[in-house]
Amino acid sequence: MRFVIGGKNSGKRAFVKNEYGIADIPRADYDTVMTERAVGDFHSFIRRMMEDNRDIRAVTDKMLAENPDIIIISDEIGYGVVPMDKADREWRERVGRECCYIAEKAEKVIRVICGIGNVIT
Amino acid sequence: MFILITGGSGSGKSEFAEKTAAELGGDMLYVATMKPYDEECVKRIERHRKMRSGKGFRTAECYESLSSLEERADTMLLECVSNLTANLMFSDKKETDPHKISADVLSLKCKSLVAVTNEISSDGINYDGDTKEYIRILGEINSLLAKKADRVYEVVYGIPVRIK
Repeated sequence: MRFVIGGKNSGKRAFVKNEYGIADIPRADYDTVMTERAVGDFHSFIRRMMEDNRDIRAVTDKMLAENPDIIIISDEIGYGVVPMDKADREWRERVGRECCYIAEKAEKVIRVICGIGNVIT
Repeated sequence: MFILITGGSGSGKSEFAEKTAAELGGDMLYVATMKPYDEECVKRIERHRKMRSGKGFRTAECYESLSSLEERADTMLLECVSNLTANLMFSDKKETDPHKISADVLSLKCKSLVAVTNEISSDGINYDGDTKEYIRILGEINSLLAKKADRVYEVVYGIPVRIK
Protein backbone atom coordinates (compact mmCIF):
# COMPACT_ATOMS: atom_id res chain seq x y z
CA MET A 1 0.00 0.00 0.00
CA ARG A 2 1.18 3.50 -0.77
CA PHE A 3 -0.02 6.58 1.04
CA VAL A 4 0.02 9.92 -0.77
CA ILE A 5 -0.58 13.02 1.32
CA GLY A 6 -0.38 16.78 0.98
CA GLY A 7 -2.41 19.96 1.18
CA LYS A 8 -5.56 20.61 -0.83
CA ASN A 9 -4.82 20.99 -4.56
CA SER A 10 -1.16 20.27 -4.09
CA GLY A 11 -1.11 17.97 -7.12
CA LYS A 12 -1.55 14.62 -5.41
CA ARG A 13 -3.91 13.06 -7.99
CA ALA A 14 -1.87 14.25 -10.96
CA PHE A 15 1.22 12.87 -9.28
CA VAL A 16 -0.38 9.47 -8.78
CA LYS A 17 -1.76 9.40 -12.34
CA ASN A 18 1.69 10.11 -13.79
CA GLU A 19 3.73 8.06 -11.42
CA TYR A 20 1.60 4.94 -11.56
CA GLY A 21 -0.12 5.32 -14.95
CA ILE A 22 -3.62 5.38 -13.55
CA ALA A 23 -6.24 7.14 -15.69
CA ASP A 24 -9.10 7.46 -13.26
CA ILE A 25 -8.98 7.90 -9.54
CA PRO A 26 -12.37 7.62 -7.85
CA ARG A 27 -13.18 9.05 -4.45
CA ALA A 28 -12.68 6.76 -1.49
CA ASP A 29 -15.92 5.07 -0.50
CA TYR A 30 -17.02 1.82 1.11
CA ASP A 31 -16.83 -0.05 -2.20
CA THR A 32 -14.02 1.73 -4.09
CA VAL A 33 -11.46 1.26 -1.30
CA MET A 34 -11.90 -2.51 -1.51
CA THR A 35 -11.29 -2.82 -5.27
CA GLU A 36 -9.69 0.23 -6.94
CA ARG A 37 -5.97 0.67 -7.57
CA ALA A 38 -6.08 4.21 -6.20
CA VAL A 39 -8.63 6.29 -4.30
CA GLY A 40 -8.76 10.00 -3.48
CA ASP A 41 -10.25 12.14 -0.71
CA PHE A 42 -9.66 9.65 2.05
CA HIS A 43 -10.08 12.45 4.60
CA SER A 44 -13.66 13.04 3.35
CA PHE A 45 -14.37 9.31 3.53
CA ILE A 46 -13.33 9.38 7.19
CA ARG A 47 -15.88 12.16 7.77
CA ARG A 48 -18.56 10.08 6.10
CA MET A 49 -17.72 7.01 8.20
CA MET A 50 -17.96 9.15 11.33
CA GLU A 51 -21.37 10.42 10.27
CA ASP A 52 -22.44 6.83 9.52
CA ASN A 53 -21.15 5.73 12.94
CA ARG A 54 -18.93 3.12 11.35
CA ASP A 55 -15.94 1.47 12.95
CA ILE A 56 -13.31 3.32 10.92
CA ARG A 57 -10.39 1.15 11.97
CA ALA A 58 -12.29 -1.98 10.94
CA VAL A 59 -12.94 -0.52 7.47
CA THR A 60 -9.27 0.46 7.15
CA ASP A 61 -8.13 -3.01 8.16
CA LYS A 62 -10.55 -4.67 5.75
CA MET A 63 -9.33 -2.39 2.95
CA LEU A 64 -5.70 -3.27 3.67
CA ALA A 65 -6.53 -6.99 3.77
CA GLU A 66 -8.64 -7.07 0.60
CA ASN A 67 -6.76 -4.47 -1.43
CA PRO A 68 -3.18 -4.57 -0.14
CA ASP A 69 -1.66 -2.73 -3.12
CA ILE A 70 -4.01 0.24 -2.99
CA ILE A 71 -2.75 3.82 -3.33
CA ILE A 72 -4.55 6.00 -0.80
CA ILE A 73 -4.67 9.75 -1.32
CA SER A 74 -5.59 12.05 1.56
CA ASP A 75 -5.43 15.74 2.34
CA GLU A 76 -3.47 16.77 5.39
CA ILE A 77 -6.02 18.75 7.35
CA GLY A 78 -4.28 19.32 10.67
CA TYR A 79 -2.35 22.48 9.84
CA GLY A 80 -4.84 25.05 11.10
CA VAL A 81 -6.37 26.71 14.08
CA VAL A 82 -8.48 24.48 16.35
CA PRO A 83 -11.93 24.49 14.68
CA MET A 84 -14.83 26.15 16.51
CA ASP A 85 -17.19 23.29 15.67
CA LYS A 86 -16.95 20.15 17.81
CA ALA A 87 -17.63 17.78 14.89
CA ASP A 88 -14.86 19.49 12.89
CA ARG A 89 -12.46 19.08 15.81
CA GLU A 90 -13.30 15.41 16.14
CA TRP A 91 -12.92 14.88 12.39
CA ARG A 92 -9.51 16.56 12.36
CA GLU A 93 -8.36 14.42 15.27
CA ARG A 94 -9.73 11.21 13.71
CA VAL A 95 -8.11 11.93 10.34
CA GLY A 96 -4.79 12.46 12.15
CA ARG A 97 -5.00 9.20 14.06
CA GLU A 98 -6.15 7.13 11.09
CA CYS A 99 -3.50 8.63 8.83
CA CYS A 100 -0.79 7.84 11.42
CA TYR A 101 -2.02 4.24 11.37
CA ILE A 102 -2.08 4.06 7.57
CA ALA A 103 1.37 5.70 7.34
CA GLU A 104 2.75 3.09 9.72
CA LYS A 105 1.39 0.27 7.55
CA ALA A 106 2.40 1.87 4.24
CA GLU A 107 5.23 0.57 2.13
CA LYS A 108 5.84 4.17 1.07
CA VAL A 109 4.51 7.51 2.30
CA ILE A 110 4.75 10.19 -0.37
CA ARG A 111 4.16 13.81 0.47
CA VAL A 112 3.20 16.01 -2.47
CA ILE A 113 4.05 19.70 -2.50
CA CYS A 114 3.71 21.77 -5.71
CA GLY A 115 2.99 18.55 -7.59
CA ILE A 116 6.31 17.07 -6.52
CA GLY A 117 6.24 13.87 -4.53
CA ASN A 118 8.77 13.35 -1.77
CA VAL A 119 9.07 9.92 -0.27
CA ILE A 120 9.26 10.54 3.46
CA THR A 121 9.44 6.90 4.49
CA MET B 1 20.58 20.08 23.72
CA PHE B 2 17.38 21.70 22.50
CA ILE B 3 15.09 19.84 20.13
CA LEU B 4 11.99 21.47 18.66
CA ILE B 5 9.21 19.26 17.34
CA THR B 6 6.42 20.65 15.21
CA GLY B 7 3.62 19.29 13.05
CA GLY B 8 -0.09 19.45 12.44
CA SER B 9 -2.84 18.38 14.75
CA GLY B 10 -3.04 14.63 15.28
CA SER B 11 0.26 14.07 13.50
CA GLY B 12 1.92 11.96 16.19
CA LYS B 13 4.15 14.74 17.56
CA SER B 14 3.71 13.71 21.18
CA GLU B 15 4.67 10.11 20.68
CA PHE B 16 7.82 11.09 18.81
CA ALA B 17 8.62 13.75 21.42
CA GLU B 18 8.34 11.19 24.22
CA LYS B 19 10.63 8.84 22.36
CA THR B 20 13.14 11.62 21.73
CA ALA B 21 13.11 12.71 25.38
CA ALA B 22 13.55 9.11 26.54
CA GLU B 23 16.61 8.78 24.29
CA LEU B 24 18.13 11.86 25.94
CA GLY B 25 17.30 10.14 29.20
CA GLY B 26 18.32 10.84 32.77
CA ASP B 27 15.75 12.24 35.16
CA MET B 28 12.80 13.26 32.97
CA LEU B 29 10.11 15.83 33.65
CA TYR B 30 7.03 16.34 31.50
CA VAL B 31 5.89 19.96 31.62
CA ALA B 32 2.18 20.08 30.87
CA THR B 33 0.57 23.35 29.81
CA MET B 34 -3.01 22.37 29.01
CA LYS B 35 -5.60 23.71 31.43
CA PRO B 36 -8.35 21.16 32.10
CA TYR B 37 -11.08 23.72 31.47
CA ASP B 38 -13.63 21.44 29.80
CA GLU B 39 -14.39 17.79 29.22
CA GLU B 40 -12.61 17.68 25.86
CA CYS B 41 -9.38 18.99 27.44
CA VAL B 42 -9.68 16.53 30.31
CA LYS B 43 -10.00 13.68 27.81
CA ARG B 44 -7.02 14.91 25.85
CA ILE B 45 -4.92 15.23 28.98
CA GLU B 46 -5.98 11.73 30.03
CA ARG B 47 -5.00 10.29 26.63
CA HIS B 48 -1.54 11.85 26.90
CA ARG B 49 -1.16 10.66 30.49
CA LYS B 50 -1.93 7.12 29.46
CA MET B 51 0.45 7.34 26.52
CA ARG B 52 3.41 8.32 28.66
CA SER B 53 2.62 6.20 31.71
CA GLY B 54 5.37 3.75 32.54
CA LYS B 55 7.91 5.68 30.45
CA GLY B 56 9.60 7.26 33.46
CA PHE B 57 8.36 10.86 33.32
CA ARG B 58 7.51 12.95 36.33
CA THR B 59 4.85 15.54 35.55
CA ALA B 60 4.70 19.23 36.40
CA GLU B 61 1.77 21.39 35.44
CA CYS B 62 2.64 24.92 34.48
CA TYR B 63 0.14 26.98 32.56
CA GLU B 64 1.81 30.34 32.29
CA SER B 65 5.22 31.34 33.52
CA LEU B 66 7.72 28.53 32.90
CA SER B 67 10.54 30.57 34.42
CA SER B 68 8.75 30.36 37.78
CA LEU B 69 8.90 26.55 37.69
CA GLU B 70 11.42 25.60 40.38
CA GLU B 71 11.79 21.97 39.33
CA ARG B 72 14.95 20.74 37.71
CA ALA B 73 15.57 17.69 35.53
CA ASP B 74 18.14 16.28 33.13
CA THR B 75 15.57 16.18 30.34
CA MET B 76 12.34 18.11 30.06
CA LEU B 77 9.54 17.58 27.61
CA LEU B 78 7.41 20.68 27.16
CA GLU B 79 3.98 20.12 25.69
CA CYS B 80 3.19 22.43 24.13
CA VAL B 81 4.35 25.87 23.05
CA SER B 82 1.05 26.62 21.28
CA ASN B 83 -0.94 26.02 24.46
CA LEU B 84 1.49 28.01 26.55
CA THR B 85 1.23 30.91 24.10
CA ALA B 86 -2.58 30.88 24.19
CA ASN B 87 -2.51 30.73 28.00
CA LEU B 88 -0.17 33.70 28.19
CA MET B 89 -2.00 35.77 25.57
CA PHE B 90 -5.50 35.23 26.85
CA SER B 91 -4.88 35.33 30.61
CA ASP B 92 -4.56 38.45 32.77
CA LYS B 93 -0.92 38.57 31.73
CA LYS B 94 -1.89 39.42 28.13
CA GLU B 95 1.66 38.56 27.08
CA THR B 96 2.08 39.02 23.33
CA ASP B 97 5.82 39.44 22.93
CA PRO B 98 7.23 36.46 20.99
CA HIS B 99 10.72 37.16 22.34
CA LYS B 100 9.54 37.00 25.94
CA ILE B 101 7.52 33.85 25.36
CA SER B 102 10.35 32.02 23.59
CA ALA B 103 12.76 33.14 26.33
CA ASP B 104 10.30 31.72 28.85
CA VAL B 105 10.42 28.35 27.07
CA LEU B 106 14.21 28.36 27.14
CA SER B 107 14.30 29.31 30.82
CA LEU B 108 13.36 25.76 31.90
CA LYS B 109 15.99 24.39 34.26
CA CYS B 110 17.25 21.32 32.40
CA LYS B 111 20.22 20.01 30.44
CA SER B 112 18.13 18.86 27.51
CA LEU B 113 14.83 20.26 26.36
CA VAL B 114 12.36 18.75 23.91
CA ALA B 115 9.65 21.28 23.08
CA VAL B 116 6.52 20.45 21.11
CA THR B 117 4.82 23.15 19.09
CA ASN B 118 2.16 23.24 16.38
CA GLU B 119 1.61 24.27 12.79
CA ILE B 120 -1.63 26.23 12.75
CA SER B 121 -1.32 28.67 9.88
CA SER B 122 -2.24 26.65 6.80
CA ASP B 123 -6.00 26.17 6.79
CA GLY B 124 -6.58 28.93 4.25
CA ILE B 125 -9.04 30.76 6.48
CA ASN B 126 -8.60 34.47 7.09
CA TYR B 127 -9.11 35.09 10.77
CA ASP B 128 -9.70 38.37 12.56
CA GLY B 129 -8.67 39.86 15.83
CA ASP B 130 -7.26 37.62 18.52
CA THR B 131 -6.96 34.52 16.33
CA LYS B 132 -5.04 36.40 13.64
CA GLU B 133 -2.78 37.80 16.32
CA TYR B 134 -2.29 34.35 17.88
CA ILE B 135 -1.26 32.83 14.54
CA ARG B 136 1.23 35.62 13.95
CA ILE B 137 2.74 35.43 17.43
CA LEU B 138 3.03 31.64 17.44
CA GLY B 139 4.64 31.74 13.98
CA GLU B 140 7.24 34.15 15.27
CA ILE B 141 7.86 32.12 18.45
CA ASN B 142 8.34 28.98 16.37
CA SER B 143 10.88 30.75 14.18
CA LEU B 144 12.75 32.12 17.19
CA LEU B 145 12.85 28.71 18.86
CA ALA B 146 13.92 26.96 15.65
CA LYS B 147 16.84 29.38 15.39
CA LYS B 148 18.03 28.34 18.85
CA ALA B 149 17.33 24.65 18.36
CA ASP B 150 20.02 22.05 17.74
CA ARG B 151 17.50 19.98 15.83
CA VAL B 152 14.03 20.64 14.43
CA TYR B 153 11.63 17.93 13.30
CA GLU B 154 8.30 18.15 11.57
CA VAL B 155 6.27 15.05 12.38
CA VAL B 156 4.05 13.98 9.48
CA TYR B 157 1.58 11.24 10.44
CA GLY B 158 4.07 9.63 12.75
CA ILE B 159 7.06 10.13 10.44
CA PRO B 160 9.72 12.50 11.77
CA VAL B 161 11.06 14.69 8.97
CA ARG B 162 14.19 16.47 10.10
CA ILE B 163 14.16 20.07 8.89
CA LYS B 164 17.15 21.34 10.85
